[in-house]
Amino acid sequence: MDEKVLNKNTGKEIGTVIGGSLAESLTARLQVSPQEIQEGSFVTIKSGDWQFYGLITDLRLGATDPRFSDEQIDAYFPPAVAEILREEVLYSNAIILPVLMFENGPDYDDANIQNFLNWKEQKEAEGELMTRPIQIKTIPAHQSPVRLASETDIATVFGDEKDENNFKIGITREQNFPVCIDLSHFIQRSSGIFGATGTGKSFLARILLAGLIQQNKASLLVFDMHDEYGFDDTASDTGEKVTGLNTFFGSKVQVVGLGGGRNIRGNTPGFQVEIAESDIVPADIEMLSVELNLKETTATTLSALVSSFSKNWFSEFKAMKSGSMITNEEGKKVPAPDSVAAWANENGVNVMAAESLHSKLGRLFRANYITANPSANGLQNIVEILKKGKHIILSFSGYGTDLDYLFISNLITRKIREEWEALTNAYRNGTGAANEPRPLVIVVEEAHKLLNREMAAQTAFSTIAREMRKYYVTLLIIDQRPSQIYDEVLSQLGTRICGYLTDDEDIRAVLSGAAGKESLRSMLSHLQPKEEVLIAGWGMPMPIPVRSRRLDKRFWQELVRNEKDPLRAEDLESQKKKLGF
Amino acid sequence: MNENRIGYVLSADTLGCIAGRRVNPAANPSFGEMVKISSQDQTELYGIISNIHILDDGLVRQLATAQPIEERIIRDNRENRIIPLEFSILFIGFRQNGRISHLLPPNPPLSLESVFTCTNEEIGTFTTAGSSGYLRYLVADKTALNFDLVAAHFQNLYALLQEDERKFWMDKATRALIHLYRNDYETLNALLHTLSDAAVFTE
Repeated sequence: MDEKVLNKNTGKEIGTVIGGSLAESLTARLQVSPQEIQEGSFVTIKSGDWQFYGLITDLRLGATDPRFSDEQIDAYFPPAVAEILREEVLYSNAIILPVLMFENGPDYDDANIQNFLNWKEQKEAEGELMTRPIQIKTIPAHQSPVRLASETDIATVFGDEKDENNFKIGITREQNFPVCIDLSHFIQRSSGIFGATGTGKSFLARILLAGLIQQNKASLLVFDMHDEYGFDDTASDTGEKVTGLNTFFGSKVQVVGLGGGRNIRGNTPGFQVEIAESDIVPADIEMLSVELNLKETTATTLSALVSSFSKNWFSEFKAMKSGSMITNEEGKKVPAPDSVAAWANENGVNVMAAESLHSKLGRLFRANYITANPSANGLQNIVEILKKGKHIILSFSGYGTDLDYLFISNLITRKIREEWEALTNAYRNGTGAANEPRPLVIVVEEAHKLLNREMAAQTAFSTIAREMRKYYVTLLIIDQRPSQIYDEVLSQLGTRICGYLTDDEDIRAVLSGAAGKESLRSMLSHLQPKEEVLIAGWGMPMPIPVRSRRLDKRFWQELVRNEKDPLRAEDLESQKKKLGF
Repeated sequence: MNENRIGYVLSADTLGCIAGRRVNPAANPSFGEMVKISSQDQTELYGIISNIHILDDGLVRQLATAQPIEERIIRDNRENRIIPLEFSILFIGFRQNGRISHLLPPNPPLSLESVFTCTNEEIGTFTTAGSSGYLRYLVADKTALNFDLVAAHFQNLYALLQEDERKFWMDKATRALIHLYRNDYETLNALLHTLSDAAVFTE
């Protein structure tokens, strides 16, 4: 089959449009073997002055008459006839989901480039020259040629790798063209990385985080449940060493341990964070209602505790003794003065409810990372570091229970939410010399534990997912069971990066709210179990399956090469100041 | 040119003509043979012999009842009597001002116009011009006879073309025919079985 290549910017022609609609999909008759095309292939369709961009979502075999499909062609006809018959009566169709369109003028080659230049000049003069593709609003004409996207097409839609704002997230599966993501756009909304266990979610997250750190787009707060992100690790499947973010970026990335005196996989964290008992508010406890099996009376009891002891309620409650009795002057057994019951009686709280809560909070009372007088204000340290543009990886080393994770992550996030809301309000009110707040991305692993239907309404994370983008805070959630995440939170996710999923409900959840989700659903279910992901949503102009980058030496070397020159950046800032900006 | 004359036009219309000649077992026309006929306006018509008719008369019918017929009577009947051998020609194109068209001729030939067999060069030039569009006239009425006509034509071309041209032509002509009937399973199936039986695809 001849390859019709008009210029170096066009890909191989694979077929022509034979039908379709805007509401559904386009159908193209393939001129090449279906084995040359894959589901998810990024294709372009040229029709007049417009270039359409789409994804192949299905491949179908057809015949001019179904009886030809049944015919044992090779058995009945000589090879030469059989070959031609197969080509003429048996065919393959590609179903294309059109997504974007771009008026890029007439096709040209060296001989007729002047036509293109004339067109471009006229469009510029009229102020109608398009600079980037727009969402599809019409369809290409019959018989329009369908081509595999070229490197230029990929760069036109997803950005040029050479542009410092773009970060290569992977390559196209067929032709290995780089697919970039605009990280400054990406962080404007919450996003998610999903995939079944062992599909490389953490590796992909590390790649994205490395890109965000390298491009200095946002501060990152990573709740590192499995101590994977900060220091070097060993890949469980390949046994290869995996460089940690702290190892590569040094002091830009602070690894923070939980509790005192612990190390993380033999490494000493930047500092240890201990939670002051006075920092704990009733909402932090209420959020644990499922984990601690709290009763409906908890809110009343907590409210009474705060009324009684104000900020010190946790310390005071912890110090109380449950079931402690004394004999009074009349010889009766009564609750001891330092008992829970005594406090409950004094404050009109149901004794059993108070004692039950006291008992259930025992797990928190015994947590080493909660102290009355921490050596430093760990929470405030974290906030200050993030404000300065550095990054925190909070390692849960040794505190791997769901209770620890839920309690700490929610408490810290609540604190951050308060800070960033204050910063943003100050900036918007123009009070003082408030600078624009530094964007912050909170990375949450095992997100379904925090954002499931029961918890979502109570945690700070759901608020962040829904509202906090206005306050420069977004989430990056990493999870293997997206179906367990509350729909309302899931619907707020801008960019969804999804690896291999097997569960229908998970696939449905990931694609909730996405255009053309039925087509994407099939694509998603056919991803390779490793290193292939479908990226869709806010951060990408159109959905595309990619082979993700490998987190290997080459990745880090490329990252070094792309590192922006800090001196140059400082010069620019100082020059701006000199000019009065 | 005279040595290639194989008959004279008896009757004609736009689609084809019937020609006749004296019976000559050594030089009778063949089914599927390509012929040309000069037309009224300097146009050369090309056609393919699509049917050959051996006619009878009253005497032949009477002789057929005799048992047995003597050999000399048979020979006399074949060599000396003037009952013509008639053959049908399907028009498949024409040459006008040196240009070949795979279309029906603008005018049919007049009666008694000479019918010549085409030379190898003429056959090569005509059949390789364009995109084998003339083949549609061969299979126009989808009869079994026409499928055999195509097979005969393929066999003639197979014998005539050089090895390097042969495969190219066979592929091109086969593709053209399949394309014509790609939506008609019965016709295409019958046609291809006939073509396969022509044993021109053995390479």
